[in-house]
Amino acid sequence: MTSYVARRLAWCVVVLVMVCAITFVIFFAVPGNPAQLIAGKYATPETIALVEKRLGLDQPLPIQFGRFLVHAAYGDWGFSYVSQQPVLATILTAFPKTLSLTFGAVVIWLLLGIPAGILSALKPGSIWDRSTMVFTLVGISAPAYWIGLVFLRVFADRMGWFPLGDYTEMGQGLLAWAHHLVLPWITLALLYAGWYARMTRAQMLDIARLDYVRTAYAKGLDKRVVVGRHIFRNALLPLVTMLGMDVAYLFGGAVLTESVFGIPGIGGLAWRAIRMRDLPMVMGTVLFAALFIVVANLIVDLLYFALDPRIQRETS
Amino acid sequence: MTAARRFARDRWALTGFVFLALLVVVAVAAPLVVGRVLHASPYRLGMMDKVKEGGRLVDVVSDGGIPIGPSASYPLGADLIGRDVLSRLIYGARVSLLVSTMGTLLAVLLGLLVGLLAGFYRGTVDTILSRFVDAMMAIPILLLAIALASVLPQGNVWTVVLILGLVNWTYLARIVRGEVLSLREKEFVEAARALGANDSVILARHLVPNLVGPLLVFGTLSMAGNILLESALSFLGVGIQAPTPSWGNMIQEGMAFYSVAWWVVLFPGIAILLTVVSLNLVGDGLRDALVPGSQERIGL
Amino acid sequence: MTLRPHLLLSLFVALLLSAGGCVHEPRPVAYVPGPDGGTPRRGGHAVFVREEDPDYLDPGLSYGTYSAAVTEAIFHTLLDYAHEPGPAGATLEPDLAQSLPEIRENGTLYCFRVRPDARFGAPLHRHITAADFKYSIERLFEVESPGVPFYRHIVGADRVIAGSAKTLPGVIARGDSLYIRITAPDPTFLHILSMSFTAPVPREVAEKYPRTLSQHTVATGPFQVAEFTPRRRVILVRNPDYCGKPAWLDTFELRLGVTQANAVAMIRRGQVDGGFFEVPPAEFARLRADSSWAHQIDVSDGLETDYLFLNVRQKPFDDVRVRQAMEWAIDRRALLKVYSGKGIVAGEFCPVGMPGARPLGRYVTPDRARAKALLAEAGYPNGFRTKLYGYATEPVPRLLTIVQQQLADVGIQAELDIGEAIGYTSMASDTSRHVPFGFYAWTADYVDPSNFFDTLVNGHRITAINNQNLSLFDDPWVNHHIEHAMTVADDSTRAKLWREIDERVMDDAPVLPLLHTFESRLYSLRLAGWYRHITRILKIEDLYLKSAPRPAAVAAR
Repeated sequence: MTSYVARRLAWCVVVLVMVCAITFVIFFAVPGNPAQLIAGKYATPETIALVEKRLGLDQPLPIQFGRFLVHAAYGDWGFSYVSQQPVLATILTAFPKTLSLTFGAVVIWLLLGIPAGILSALKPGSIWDRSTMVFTLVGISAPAYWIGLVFLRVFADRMGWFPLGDYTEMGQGLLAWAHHLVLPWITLALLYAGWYARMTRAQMLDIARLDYVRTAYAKGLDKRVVVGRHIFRNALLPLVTMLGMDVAYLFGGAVLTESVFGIPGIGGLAWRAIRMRDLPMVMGTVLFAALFIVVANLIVDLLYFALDPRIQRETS
Repeated sequence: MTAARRFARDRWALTGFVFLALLVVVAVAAPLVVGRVLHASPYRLGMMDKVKEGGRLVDVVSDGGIPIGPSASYPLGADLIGRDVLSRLIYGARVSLLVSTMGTLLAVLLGLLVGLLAGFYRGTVDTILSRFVDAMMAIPILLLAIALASVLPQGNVWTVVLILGLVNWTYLARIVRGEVLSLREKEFVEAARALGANDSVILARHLVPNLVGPLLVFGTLSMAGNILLESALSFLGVGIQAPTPSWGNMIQEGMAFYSVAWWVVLFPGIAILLTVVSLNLVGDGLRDALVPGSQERIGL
Repeated sequence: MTLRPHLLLSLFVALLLSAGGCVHEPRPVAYVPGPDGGTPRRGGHAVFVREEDPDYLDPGLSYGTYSAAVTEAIFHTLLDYAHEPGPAGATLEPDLAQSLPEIRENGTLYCFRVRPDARFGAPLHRHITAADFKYSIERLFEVESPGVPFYRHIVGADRVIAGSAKTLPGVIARGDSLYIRITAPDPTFLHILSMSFTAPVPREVAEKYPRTLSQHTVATGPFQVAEFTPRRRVILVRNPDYCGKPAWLDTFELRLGVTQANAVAMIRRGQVDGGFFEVPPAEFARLRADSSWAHQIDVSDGLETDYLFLNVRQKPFDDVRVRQAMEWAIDRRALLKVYSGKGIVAGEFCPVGMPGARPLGRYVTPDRARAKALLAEAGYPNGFRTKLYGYATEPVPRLLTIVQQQLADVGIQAELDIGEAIGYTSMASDTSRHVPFGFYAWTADYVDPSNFFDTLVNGHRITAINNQNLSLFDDPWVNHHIEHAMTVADDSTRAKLWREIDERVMDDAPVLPLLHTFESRLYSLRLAGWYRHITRILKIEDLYLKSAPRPAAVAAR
């Protein structure tokens, strides 16, 4: 067991290093002088040379990469080219906003999606099932930013129920904070609620057809017990896995939602950094996002390893 | 019952398919439809034009900069600089469909290649490739796409195709690898080996044909995602650039005025919605037709 | 089991809706629109909004049009402009000084007397002496204030700037008498002295909090700071220690961190009274169409020109006929629509809000036939190809797309090259880049036409980099007349000269002026006393709240 864990941890580190390498490559290996990209389309040759020198871009690539890795491991993620502020500190300041957005959205999509999926699975083919499937189909097919704009127009602009995109710190009042986030929460949650409803439904239907469930029914067990104890419990694991992955991705910043609603979170940070060719900030945000995803993957793998004896046997 | 027959019996999948077929026809015939039938243009600005509405002459774009809404001469309204939204929607379909299809094809090719190699050869090759796939999947798709867009020549349709391909193949590679892993243990592969066939023959002749099913399903669903991704990139300004119309950049252009000109934002969004819904329906239908019993579906 | 999720859901949705509903404010009372509220009355609390924090609440460091309104409400100095709209507001009046200064020794010595009742506000409440003024002027150099360049002509300033001295021998304080000596006569020096940079700062507080004076302000104007929470709000209350005309409002709150779109919505719903931001174009269009709100928008000349420059040293723009053809091809009325009508068509290069300027009405209606004829005459009967440069900040791309089509209608194929705004100016101003044709916008740094003509079309001002004469236009007649006009003392003669120069520039067309855009501010229905001062800074002390109208007056509307 411990050897498996140790190996998985080692692979995590490898994957993270590869993530950094890929980002580096994108910025440097693509034809075009990176200093040119950073200095801008309209920069003069002198400016470009200055930029190269100032940012240490005249060093050979492996050295730059190595230097970045060593510093990053010690918590020094460099300074933004644009704001000259420390990258990690800036990211950590933006993170609570992304966290606020994610947290509320997660609560809503779980409360909406999973019960809807359960109900659909319990009554397949009913009016409820059909309408849920239509609704979720729309939810997963609509562009999130467009839904956000429509909501803003209807509920914020026309009806005046919500502010027109903004962000209020939690410290300035819980109600104000939530009030500003309701529309972004719902926009984000709509997409995921759709997936989760469908997943829940599919999983429960699959399990319901399995032999041991049929046996339980045949034995005359109360339907509620069967559904609750057997079907739903087992459908839970893949859902939890999905939840972990989705949350990890969202921690990397929901660029579109944050952009439409003006939320100063990681998504906006990453987006601006990429447009401004702010390499340290790009590396920082990508690494930050990747960290969550890799850790989430790790936890999921360990969970499955611990729970499913078949995997244990296979890997030993 | 053949897969095709099963597909045809699925009402919803069929509806989706019909919509897509119509869309493709209209998109391909765009110049004909827009030019001859509608007598309109996706590029012609009508800033100082006036049209007859309800007996009066009305500005296409008012003095306050507000364009005309859905009306007789502009069925879906005009955009902020007086261009016909319907024409741009149709031309936008061309761009979005072309880019998403090519992007999906590229992703399928890359995913197929990597998945085959990883699944068939296993061992070190598999480990390295799988870790690489893990690493690429650890970067949020949108960030990766934006990063690539900012370093590649902007505004080029082929740039967007390349980005869509590079960003999506990992998902397919994993699926292909999984399928290959299970397929390679099957008897027909062993039989082929026993007959002395070499690797590439086995790959090409025996494995790939069995992959067509899953590839078709996931390709379709992947295309749905690509339409959304392309529109997101164009919305952010790093995808298809103006004046080439794309459903995404139409929404972005109209965003500042959505409070007074809702049609510029609403209709492209509906177009995306309907197309992606159709693709999802077709994808689901394909999955049910090709792999019966994989998911019990009634109605949808 | 089947009902519970339903219940949970409905409960949640109900909570959401009620939360949304209870924050929805009731509609505002019906006031008579416009800035006139009858007789001003003392009292009331007004709320404004702004997205960014004020840069500083320190008179030595604060610099910026948006911060200025708040700074100038708190910190007054020797002189102040008359609180009148229009040109009358350019007159200087004594504020903390007893009277306008005596100017002796051939215009190099300014003698002030501080008012005996001039006092610092809370917590000091002590009399302001001349020494306090001397200290605050010297402090500008110590804190590296952005205002230092304005005061470099004070005797001894050059040594302070060089770092070899700490005090200014050119500023002498004796009791309540203040003397300021400058190295050479300067007719604009009184205006420079009236800037809030010279507002007195108490030495005992400034030395205790050298870099955080924004949090320890001592007021010398009609308002004092009651609270400044960064990223949250600033609260001003009337300052009883101010010796001049007291403010009308009791308190004034500036809420920070509010975006433009939200700001407009909040003003329309009567939740706030105004803000320091430009009204977004869509909202501008919508408000102008509304009968009451149209009167609540204060639109005024921003002293700005949006124009296209043509590099006269490159073919085909070296031929004046080609340039004139392009003037005739462009329909500026279409471009004005992109700004929702917030401006006027530019028939001249110099903004018409400049003192003495008049609209010249050149090329205002397009004439495509004439354009084509001119092109043919110049040897381009089928037009030509070129590249039009611009940047991505809206609405420039839309503007240029329209220009592109208008040029195409006369045969000129212009490919658009739109880049990021950062770096556009440095590219365009780099002569070695040979930019043929591009977009530019210029807002006046100071209220005089020389800021436009001397900087942008004087051939003697062409430099290799940071060049602002983007057309590389070098006409000896124009150069000479510009430099001559800058020395003419008589206002009307000077104005006539500038107009002649403008006509000549429009004839030669090295630049194609498109529009003069305006600035806009939105105010709530209950706020009165707002007007556009010539400095473009809002006078918060003149704001007051309207009393509610009588029912009969409302019915009459």
